[in-house]
Parts: sequence; C-alpha cells; structure tokens
Amino acid sequence: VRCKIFSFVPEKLIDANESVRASANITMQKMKVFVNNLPQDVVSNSLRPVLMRLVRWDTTSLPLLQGLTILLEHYPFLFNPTLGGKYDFI
Amino acid sequence: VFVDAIIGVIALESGVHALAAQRAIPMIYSVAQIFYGNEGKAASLPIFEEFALRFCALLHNDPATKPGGYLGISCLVRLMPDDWLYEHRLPFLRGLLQALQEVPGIYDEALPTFATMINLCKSPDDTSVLSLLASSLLHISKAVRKAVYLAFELLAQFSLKSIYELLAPLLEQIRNPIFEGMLKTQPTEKQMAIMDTVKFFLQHRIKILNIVELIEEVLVLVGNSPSIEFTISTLELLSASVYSEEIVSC
Repeated sequence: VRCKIFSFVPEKLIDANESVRASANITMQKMKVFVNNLPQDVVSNSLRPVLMRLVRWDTTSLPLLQGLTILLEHYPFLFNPTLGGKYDFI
Repeated sequence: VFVDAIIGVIALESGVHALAAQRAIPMIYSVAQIFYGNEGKAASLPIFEEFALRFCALLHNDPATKPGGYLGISCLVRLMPDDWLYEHRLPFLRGLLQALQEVPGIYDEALPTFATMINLCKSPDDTSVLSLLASSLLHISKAVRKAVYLAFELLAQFSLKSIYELLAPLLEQIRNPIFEGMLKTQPTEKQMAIMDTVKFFLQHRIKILNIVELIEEVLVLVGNSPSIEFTISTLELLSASVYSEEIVSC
C-alpha cells in the first residue's frame, strides 16, 4: 500500500488546483519516512508523469515548476544529477 | 403577541428589521434584571424559554426561517447566563449544527458561538453532549464535521483528557456506521465524511478500522472521481495515515 500511496501523490504536486497542490505537498513531506524502503521502479514510475511534462516547453507551467521545486527540495536523492542537463532549456 | 412579533420579524425579515427585532431581546432581559434584581431570576422568566423553543423550531422548519433561527440562538448565547445556557445545551448545539449545515456563509461567525456552548459542557459526567457530537462525526456537511472535531478538541482540553479517552465509551456507536458497507457503495459526500473522520481519528491515535484496506479502496475511488474535494480529502487521509502502525509495518 505504501507503493500505491507514493505513486498517487507526485502527480498531484503539479495539479492545476492550488489546494490540491498544497495538500500533496504536506503528504509528500510526510512520506519521507518510508520512501527509502520503496522499490526503485515504483519511485521512478511515480516521478515519470512530472518529468514527462518537462520534456516539451509547451507543457511546462508554473504548477509544474513549483511541484518540481518541492520534489527537489525534499527528495534530492531521487534525482540523478545528470538529469539537470536535459532540462537546461528551462 | 409580543414574542410572536419578535420571532416573526427575525424569522422572515432580513437586514435592519431582523437586527432591530433581535435588539429587543436584550432590552427585555435588562428590564427583567432590574425588576428581579438578579440574572438568574430574570433568565427564569418563561418568555426566554419560549424564545429558545421558537428559535430552535425555526431551524427545523421552512428553509427561509433558518437564518432567523440561527440569529436568535446566537443572540441568546451572547446574552443569557451560563446556567441557563447549560440547561439548553442540547437543543442549542443541535440547532447550531443544523445552522452550520443549512445556512450558507455563517461558518466563521457561528463557530465561536458553537465554541461558547461547548465551553459550558466541561463536566466529564455529562455524556449527552459527547453522544450528540459522536453522532455527528459522519455528518455529510464538512462545516458540521469541522465544528464537531473542534468541539472534541476543546472538550479534551478542558477535561485534561485525550480525545481517545473522551471517545472510548462511544467507540462502538461510532464504529458501526463506518462499517455499514463498503466505501464504494456510499454516496460521495458520505465517503468524504468517512475519510475525514478516519483522518481525525488517526491524528488522535484512535484505531477504528483497517486503514490499509480503506486506503486501497480510496485510491481506487479517487482514480474515478473528478472531484477536487475528494482528491483533497484523499491526500489529507494519506498524510494522516503515513505514521500509522499499519502503514509503517506493512
């Protein structure tokens, strides 16, 4: 069930609705306690919807960047440093 | 005739007229105080009993009279002595919860009035208020649920008990409706009420049901629900459940 919870939340961090993003932010911060015990593929698959939106400039939005900021702030260890190079167009 | 006139104007007129009629009640009370020489005797006049009954009745009748019922009760809560209010605690608390559900835009104003009434119910032996609050935990109105959660927190503070200790004698009463059926068979408002209440219990370390099963069911439901409120309730439930024993150990 922890995998299911973790899969649900990251996408809500970039939701168009501000209240949904705020609730997702709080939940995301609390999930730090168990994220290290999750399988790597669950974590990667959960982050994929966020990262996929960054691939094209026309799908980039303020909620997306704010969501990404939260992820980088609280879960820097989930990101490969070389990933940043892919998104230097931002 | 006089009571009818005041109630009639408060119930059916709006704005200036209703406020003017409302002001008549403190005037009657201050005249009674001068006449009898003390608050208690003035409050025991049958006219105030009549006001209390009629204002509560307004909240259970025609939707048009509900704001007037709320206005009248809040006036009496501000005006009357604590002993008199304590005697009327159950109809007033029921009336205020009804007003929170059905009178739009009064939440911020009605909550302090509700809290004032709860302040009077400090006695740990008085289970009637706890039972009333417990029966409203799964109310479909979010405003009512928020008021009930606040009431439990205030009662816990006053009685120096935890919310678990307060609710312990009533857990069976609360547990039954939650297990009425599977979450997906409930209407959306009821689903959200169950989720909010389970979140409240988790925050206060009260174990009420199998949280893992509930979360799995909620995650399926939220995938099919376009409602923002439902998504927010889901996220809040997840947030509260993260530290629960069942989630940590699974």
